[in-house]
Amino acid sequence: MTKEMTQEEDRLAQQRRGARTTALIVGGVALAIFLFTIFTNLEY
Amino acid sequence: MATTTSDIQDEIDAHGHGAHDDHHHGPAKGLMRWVKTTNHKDIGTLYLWFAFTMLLVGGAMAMVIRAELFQPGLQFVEPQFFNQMTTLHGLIMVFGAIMPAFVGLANWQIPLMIGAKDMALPRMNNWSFWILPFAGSMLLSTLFMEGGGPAFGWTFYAPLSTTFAPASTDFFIFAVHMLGFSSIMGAINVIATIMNMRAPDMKLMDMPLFVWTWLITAFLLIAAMPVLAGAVTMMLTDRNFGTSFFDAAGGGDPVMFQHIFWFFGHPEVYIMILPAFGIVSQIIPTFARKPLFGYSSMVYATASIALLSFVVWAHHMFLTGMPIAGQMYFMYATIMISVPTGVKVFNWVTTMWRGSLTFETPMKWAVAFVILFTIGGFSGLMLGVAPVDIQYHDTYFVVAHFHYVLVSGALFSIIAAVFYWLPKWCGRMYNEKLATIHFWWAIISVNILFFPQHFLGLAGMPRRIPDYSTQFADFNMISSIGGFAFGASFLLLTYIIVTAIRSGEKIEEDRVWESAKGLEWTVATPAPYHTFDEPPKKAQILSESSHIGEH
Repeated sequence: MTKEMTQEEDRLAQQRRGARTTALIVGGVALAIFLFTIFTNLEY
Repeated sequence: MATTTSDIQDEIDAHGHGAHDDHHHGPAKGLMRWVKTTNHKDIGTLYLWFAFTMLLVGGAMAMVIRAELFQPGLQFVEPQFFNQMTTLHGLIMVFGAIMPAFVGLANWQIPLMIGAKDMALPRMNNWSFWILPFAGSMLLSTLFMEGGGPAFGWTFYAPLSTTFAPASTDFFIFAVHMLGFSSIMGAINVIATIMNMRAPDMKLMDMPLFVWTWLITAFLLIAAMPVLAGAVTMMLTDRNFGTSFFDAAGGGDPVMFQHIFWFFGHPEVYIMILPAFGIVSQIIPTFARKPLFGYSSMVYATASIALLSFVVWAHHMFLTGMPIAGQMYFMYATIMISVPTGVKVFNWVTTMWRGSLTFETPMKWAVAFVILFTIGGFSGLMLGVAPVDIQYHDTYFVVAHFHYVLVSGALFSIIAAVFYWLPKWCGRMYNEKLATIHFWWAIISVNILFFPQHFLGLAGMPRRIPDYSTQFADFNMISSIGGFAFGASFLLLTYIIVTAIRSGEKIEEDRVWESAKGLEWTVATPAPYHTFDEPPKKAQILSESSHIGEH
């Protein structure tokens, strides 16, 4: 395996980790908005 | 979950397909290709065909509506069924046709435009799509249930959708949950892709406008769809579990439903129009042979529209009994949106100004978009003025307004995008002559269909009624004739697209339109199954930037 390939794979792995983190953060925000909507409207 | 680079490398090695030997195989064969695919191009295709099918289903319902309204009196359908048609027409067009079509375009184009190999979360991408046919089928199945389908309008105001709704409403709620789930996952994927998968040398302000508008749209989806999910969840518990979120008798508030719904609903309007702005901003520079005028102002205008879209929702509710200060605030905030929107329209016109214009089919649709969307925008401004909305509210003027925005706005931009990118997708050209005939047929008929509805609304004809007084007869007949003609135009569109894909003239050039800019035009035609194994370099990114002239 050449040095460039390792770097390329490192970059891809970094991309994947970044994508997962982004997805978790954005999904978490969506869930928070959903729960906020319901709980701020509870009458009882 | 601390996954290290070496873990991932081990995983790649363990599966025996390293990063370099699975790049050049084509798609799997047969039906399972489509069921199991994680390829952004396949999933984009699935989204687009699903959206087109739903467009035809929702269009058939529109034909029922226009047939019933052809003359005063009850001709063809029962009033209750008429209400089911207006409700499902709206829901299917919004959630089944326009939104999935934009997601399909995003799937096809975003990775190609930012030099990425695929979407960031390909398996979730597959799931996002495959939820849709089930949700759509469930929504349509309500028509065959006892008591009929939902008949409370696409806005499903409580208590019509809670206390007085048919039993099938629970299936409607489940369908909306699934559609929302699909949209949220799609939005997460778009954000993760644009943020993490861009070619390393592409800065945010190097991105094409279609990518920018979709990024902003995805944030709108993330903020708006959970609110819709909250609204239908509260409906569900009000209907089945004894809560009274929206029931005044139990201490709840039906007007609160409208606030929650429109807090979702108004951003939703922009979810359906911002990607359209992006498409038009791609097409006009290509056929004007000039860089897009005011690239950065386009980006900031899009972001401003998105932010403002969250603070104007109650302009849909001026007649619910709001304090005068509230009315004034929502009126002024609404009118403010016309500023960034005006920036965009001026930028498109200025891009065309003194350009070497040609009017191939995508450009025709883009120019039609600019003109007709602006008409819809102006009638929106009129509706946003609180005192005059007392006259316009719930009339056909509203129907005319949002059809100008959503049909000759959002839908026309989708048609423009398909004509623009289809040759790249399948390597074949559509029939320009037929497409031109179709364009004029659709443009003339859509105006015959919707323009008279302004007059009907100003004269006081309410929306969502199967019968009307005789003074509205003439304009309704004209509108219905336009409606049938516009509906028929989609048969020709289907023919044009299917023949283009199957037997259109083959294209050899990578750059299908000679002055088109963008990384998508640097890959082979038709676009190979796998693209951008190596991310494009800085020089190429800059030379493909449609706003290079601005720097």
